Amino acid sequence: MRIKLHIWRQNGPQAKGDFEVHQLDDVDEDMSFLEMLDVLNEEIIESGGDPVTFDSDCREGICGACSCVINGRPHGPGHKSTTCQIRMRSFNDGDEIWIEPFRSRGFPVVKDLMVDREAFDRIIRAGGFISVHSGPKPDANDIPIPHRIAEEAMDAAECIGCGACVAACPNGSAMLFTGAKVSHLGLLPQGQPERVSRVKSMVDQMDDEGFGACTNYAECQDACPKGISIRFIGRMNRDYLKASLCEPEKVQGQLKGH
Amino acid sequence: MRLIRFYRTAIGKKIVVAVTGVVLFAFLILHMFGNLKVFFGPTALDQYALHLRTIGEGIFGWGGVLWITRGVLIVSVLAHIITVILLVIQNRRARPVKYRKHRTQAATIAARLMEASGLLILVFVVLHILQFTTGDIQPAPVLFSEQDGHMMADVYRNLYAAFSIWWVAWLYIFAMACICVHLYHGGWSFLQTLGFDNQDRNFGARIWAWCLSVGLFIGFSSVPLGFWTGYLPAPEGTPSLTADAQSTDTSETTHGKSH
Repeated sequence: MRIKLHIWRQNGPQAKGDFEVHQLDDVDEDMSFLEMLDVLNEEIIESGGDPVTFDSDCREGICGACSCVINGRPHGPGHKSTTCQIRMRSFNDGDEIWIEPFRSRGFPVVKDLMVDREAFDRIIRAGGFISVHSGPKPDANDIPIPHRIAEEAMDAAECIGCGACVAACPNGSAMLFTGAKVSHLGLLPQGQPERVSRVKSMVDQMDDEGFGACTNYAECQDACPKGISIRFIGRMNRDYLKASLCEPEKVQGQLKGH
Repeated sequence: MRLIRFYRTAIGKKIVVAVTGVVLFAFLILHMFGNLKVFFGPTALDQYALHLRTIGEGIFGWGGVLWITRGVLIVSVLAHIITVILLVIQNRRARPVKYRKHRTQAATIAARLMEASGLLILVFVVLHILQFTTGDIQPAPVLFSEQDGHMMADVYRNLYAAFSIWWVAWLYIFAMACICVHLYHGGWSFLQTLGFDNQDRNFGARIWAWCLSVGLFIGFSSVPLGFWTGYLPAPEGTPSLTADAQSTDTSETTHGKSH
């Protein structure tokens, strides 16, 4: 199949970027999207050009490394899928495909389609540790957790931190990511001792990174490759409201979140 | 200090917008039921207007409760708008380079029109107050008469005069449509922001927002439609506040004083 690519090229975080047009005439429809980019890069290298920089790692849809906004959708046309899981058969012969990096103040472009998503790592780091004893391994099912709670925590913990939520949000908000990361520990008994301090520091860090605010468009949950629900944003808001207005300030970090 | 820190975060601001939104929501519902008194005749409506001023007169004085309510509403409107402006600035900054191609997938039309509908509602509210409350804008003559030493608008008469003009009626209905669209997203959104929404309740929350916004639209629009179509009768030539209303007023006053 023949496709025409409009790819965002940008030499560095401060450089001015623009779209570059490439024509590929012999694309196998069973190729993954990233394999198509690999083929393109080989062509570019053979002709002595500068290959397109993009992120990828596991190429199995579980690591969260690949990014790209393809035709206006983070991770391309699939539902609950990452860019690496998109096959070229999702496109038609003769299609024009626009490939852009995730655009957010919190995600500065490193080069071309690669963005620096360390802001997410800093938000997680702000959440800090959980108090567990460092002695011998605890027995399995030592602490009883209702099945429903375990499932709910697992739904939140599915987040792979790819940043599609930020890319999809018209406000560039990172609340789905932060909500998921706040909730998966906040739901479990092991996460209770630091529940109050965790939500406060993570929310503060999220704002410091320059992300926007949620207006409940629900674009993020649609773009999320793991289908994480915006109910975790509501949960985070509730936790934050309690933590910042109801809990006594001086002893925070030592109280249970409930 | 705690409140300032709370307000500084995006979540704090969102919660302020949600809570002030709920206050305005509650006001709209009461306002609509007040307006529907028009279908019980001119006396019922004008008595209701008088009642809003005489309620709690013994403690707060004539119109005291009304002014307290207005104060709460003005504070809510200001907090709602200022906070939204701050959030919009933050959101614009969060994406310095725009997408060339951008497709919204999940957002409802109502959600995407929040800023536009909000702005139109603000313009409408200003015009609405200038027209019916203060009488500064008069597409149709706005009449006031003196009752018990206080100037009162002749509500039914003024409504009849205004809504007999076709473009006033239809502009009003258009404004109600803006409110309907704004509240369809707002009615669901505040539940989500305050964390009441969840998997089990999401469908119910959407239905609730739909019923509320469409209900308000129908309730408010029925008044200008009633006048415009001639279903509601023209006011009689006599002053709209009857002796009946005044006797109610007196009994209210004595009732208030007896406590």
